[in-house]
This record gives sequence, structure tokens and C-alpha cells, in this order.
Amino acid sequence: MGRKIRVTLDEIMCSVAAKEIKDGERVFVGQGYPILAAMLAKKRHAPNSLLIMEGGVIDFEPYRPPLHIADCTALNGVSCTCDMMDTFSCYLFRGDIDVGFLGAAQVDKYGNINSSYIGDVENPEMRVTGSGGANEIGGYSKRGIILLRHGKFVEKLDYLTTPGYLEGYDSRKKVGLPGGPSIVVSSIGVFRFDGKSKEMYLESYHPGVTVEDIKSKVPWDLRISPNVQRTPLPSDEELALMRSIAPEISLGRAFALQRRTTNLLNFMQAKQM
Amino acid sequence: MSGLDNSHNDKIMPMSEAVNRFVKDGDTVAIANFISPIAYGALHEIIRQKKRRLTAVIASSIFELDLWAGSGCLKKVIYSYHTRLRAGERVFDRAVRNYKIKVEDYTNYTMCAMFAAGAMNLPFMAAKKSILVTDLYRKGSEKFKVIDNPFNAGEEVVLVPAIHPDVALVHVQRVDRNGNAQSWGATGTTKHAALASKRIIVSAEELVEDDVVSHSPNNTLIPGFRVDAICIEPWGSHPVDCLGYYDADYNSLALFLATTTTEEGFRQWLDEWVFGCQDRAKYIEHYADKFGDGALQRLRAKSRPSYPVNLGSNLISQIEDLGITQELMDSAADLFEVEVE
Repeated sequence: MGRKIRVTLDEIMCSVAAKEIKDGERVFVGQGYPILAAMLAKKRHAPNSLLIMEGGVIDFEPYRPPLHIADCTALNGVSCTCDMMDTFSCYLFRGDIDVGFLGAAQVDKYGNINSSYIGDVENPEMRVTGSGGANEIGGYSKRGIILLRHGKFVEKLDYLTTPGYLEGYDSRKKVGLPGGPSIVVSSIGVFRFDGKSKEMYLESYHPGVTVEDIKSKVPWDLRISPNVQRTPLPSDEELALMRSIAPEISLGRAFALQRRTTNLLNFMQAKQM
Repeated sequence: MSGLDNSHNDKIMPMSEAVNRFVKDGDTVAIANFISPIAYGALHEIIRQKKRRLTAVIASSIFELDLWAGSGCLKKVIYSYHTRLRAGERVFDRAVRNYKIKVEDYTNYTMCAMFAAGAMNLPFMAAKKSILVTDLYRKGSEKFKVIDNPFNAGEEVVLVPAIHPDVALVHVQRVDRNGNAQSWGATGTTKHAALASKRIIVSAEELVEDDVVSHSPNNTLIPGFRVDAICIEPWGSHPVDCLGYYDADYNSLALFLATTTTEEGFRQWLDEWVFGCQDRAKYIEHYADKFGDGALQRLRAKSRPSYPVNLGSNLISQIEDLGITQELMDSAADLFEVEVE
């Protein structure tokens, strides 16, 4: 019997995403998983990475994960605060950003993303969040990290919000967009993109999930890496770090909600005493 | 609070008066700030005064759009993002269906671009090609125009139009009696969204002396001459953060999410927190009554002052600099005589 650890899916995903950030890179981060992944990277292997939030926060050091992309209350320090117009036009559009994080409700085999509508635009089954910064972040970061926590793999997107590799091969390059997604970190496994065709393939499967399970959840004939393996798990040190800096993200939504509810009740009881 | 004599200043008014005077049914209303701080006091007052057929303009919404759409204030929404913090239908989703609200979505950048063009009174602003290759353009081409770059033939350029809201709602950290609105931290869309608008309502945590503003002019986001109404509303941005005053109230956000899963829950929430509180002061009083003053004080920001900068100069006048006297002035070569009458 090998050693066992207790870990959440959220922790596995954040740990994988963190490793995508290299030291010295400039990273556009969003709220939730991206910020935890970036904090983890910065505290471990990428201390010189520079974090940017689109609301107007450049080069910051958080002491807790920011609640949103303009949250300066979560920071130990920040080098530059500015308008959102600046973060997009003066930095992202210039080509200054190495890595951008992208959430998705649907993703297709070329890493194109839907975060706008499920079903028909005019009469949608569900309105997702809408683009927010995604369209331009996916369009102009040198590399995109796609996080798929609750989203789905689809043959055809109901709506294309953010460009991945469009129709594959050099179709993205042809329309004049730089970069493209480098990885999809999903709740079942980790995917990368073929250098030539730009088609997504499976690199690793999460604990408790088989390659067959994954194939059944991907509607196209999924390519599997010849070196496919189980997704590397976070180290003890990474786990301790994630839980100390961001337990609300690290330990999962249910845990966080339960703690918040308890807090509210405690406040009300404390007041009555 | 400062001991200013406000009696001569007609811009300072309660939020109820500001909304009554400057927000009309059918107006296009910009929620100018980006996520935090937010003029929640103004948002609630607009609901209490039952403003109708408004078009809300906002880049990213946490639950601003839930509040207005669910209260029946809106006929249209122009936005780029509305968060999903839990599974299932949001208040916004139900309201769009029930009230047949028209929804027009953009991206955070294109919202910035429309606000900027509006603020500068330019007809349009260029956007990036990433719009063109997606359904934002293909399924919404009426929102964008594509032209051939007049300076580089053969290059397609996407344009978004200027937007000119009737009124902007802005929350800032501090303001002086002239309306000079000072804000710090990430400023998101605030400046351009406010300046693009015909009228501006500013709510602020604090009213400060003119002297404070003239000693920190770089913090002035909106110059006073553009501001129509000044409302002093401590805790005006609660439950989201206002840098330097208080942090976001995560528990309150969780409470909103938990109680508004149903239409009935949302109505109860409105009755308790909006209709049940006649203004922001009463809202905060109710919060302290319900959760204890400790819960509120826990949100308060600790001190982390900015380093002062030197705004001074050598204060040498031209007379001193040139070393001149009245006698020397009278001898200036360019002087000539002219008959007065």
C-alpha cells in the first residue's frame, strides 16, 4: 500500500495551472482558480512573475486571493493602479502579456471557448457570464490557460466568445492573432494542443478517472498522448500553501459556503448575547 | 466629517433628492465604477423610487444587474459580464424572461472603448480583430462596424460607437463640496463612464475640505465642474469593498446568493434591505442591528497611508526671477502711449 493524501479537485487543477506559469512571465489573472494558481506559482517556482488584473492592478502581491479583478483590498502591495482601458490597450494589445487565464462553459477541439450563451442566442437555455475580458485576453495573450471546472467539451460551440485556434492548423495565425491556448485544465484531465493541427489531445487523467471515462465525455475522436499518465498530484508543500493562502478556493465551494453560513449564524448569535 | 459650511452649496444633497432630480424614467444609466466600489446607495434609491424603463450600462456586474432587473427597473441592459457565483438561475435570468429585458453584450474592452469615445466626444473607437472572428460579431453584427483602415488599405478595423448615458452613478472615496471626486486603487471604467454621461451623481464615503483636494490633485478622477449631485454616503459601496475604508463583506454576498435562489426570496431580500431601509444610513443601522456592530467594524480597513508627494515648487515669482522694479518695468522697450478718451 502506497502513501495516501487527501486532496480536492480544485487543488489538483490549481497545482497543474500554476506549473504553466514560468518565472519572469507577465500573467493576466482573474478571480478564483487563476489567482490561486498564480499565487502558488509566485510563492514557489516563479517568484519573479508579474501579475496583472484587468480592472487596473499591475504587479501586485496578494495576502489573500482578491475577490474580483479590481480588488486592491487583498494586496500587500501593488506597483501601479490604473484604468481598465490601460490594462487592455497599453499592455495586452501591445503584446506585453505572456499568459492569460480563461474560463469556459463550452470548449471545442481547437480550444475555442463559449462563455456567453448555452442554446440559441435569442432564446438561450442559459446565459453564461458573458465575455468580460475573455475575448481580448484569449486573443492577445501569448499563451492561454483554459480552466474547465463545470464546463463541457463540445463538437460545436453554441456561441464562440473567445478565439482558440479557430479551425485548427494556421487559421488563427492567418487572421492575425498571436499565441493561442497551451493547455486545458479540466475537472477530468489535462489536455494540450498538437503543434501542427492544433487539435486538443489528452495529456493526463485525474485520479479516479480513466481514459475511457474521458473519451466518453469528449464528443470527438480524442487523441491520446502516447505518454498519457495520471495527473501529477500537488506536493504536501503545495497543499499546505494553497490551504494557508486560499482555503476558500482550495477546499472547494461546498466547504466555503458552509463556513460562510456558519459565520453568519455566529454573528447573529453573538449579537443576541 | 469635516466642519464645512454647506449652506451655500446646492450640489450636496441626500441621495433621494439626487435620484429624484437627475434620474428620469426611460434614462440610460451608467453604473460607472468597475466591480468596486459601487454606488449601492444610488442603486437602492433608484429601486425605492420605482424608476422604470431604464437602460443599464455596466461593464462587469456582481449583482448590480440582479437588483435592477429583478426590481422591474429595466427595459434594456448593455453589459459585458454578469457573474455566476452558484449553479442555477440568477435573479437576472428570471427577470430578463419575465420583464422581456433586451440584452446587448460586449466585452470589457469594448465597453471601455465605448465609454472612452463617449467621454472624448469622438464618434467611435477602434476595437481588436479578436471580436471579428467570434460570434460577438457574427451573431451581433449590428453592434459593430468594420471599415478598411484608411491609413493602411486592406486591413479590416472593427469599430464600436461612442456611448452617451443620460446619467452616471459613481461611488468614490472622498469628495469636496465642489464635487471634485477622488478615488484610488484600480479605477476600471469609472472616469470614462462618468465623463461620457450627461449628468453625474457622485456618492462618497467622506466629504473633505477643498484643501485636501488641492493637496492631492492626482487622486481627482472627476473634476467638480462635471458633477451635478454630491451625496455623502458612508458605507455607500457595501457589500463590496471601498479601498481604504472597508473590505468586501463576503458573508453579506453569501447571504444574498443564498436567499435569492427563488423569486420569493428575492422579494423578501428587497423588502428587508431596500424598501425596509429609507436610505443608506438606515441600511447600515439595520445591518448593525441584525449582525451586530462588530460584524460591521470587522470590515473596516486598517491604516496604510500613501507616502506624501511634494507638490511644492521654488515659489520664485517672475518679478523676483527677473530682478525687476517698477522703474525697470516702466522702461520696457515695447511700451507705447495711447490716448484713453
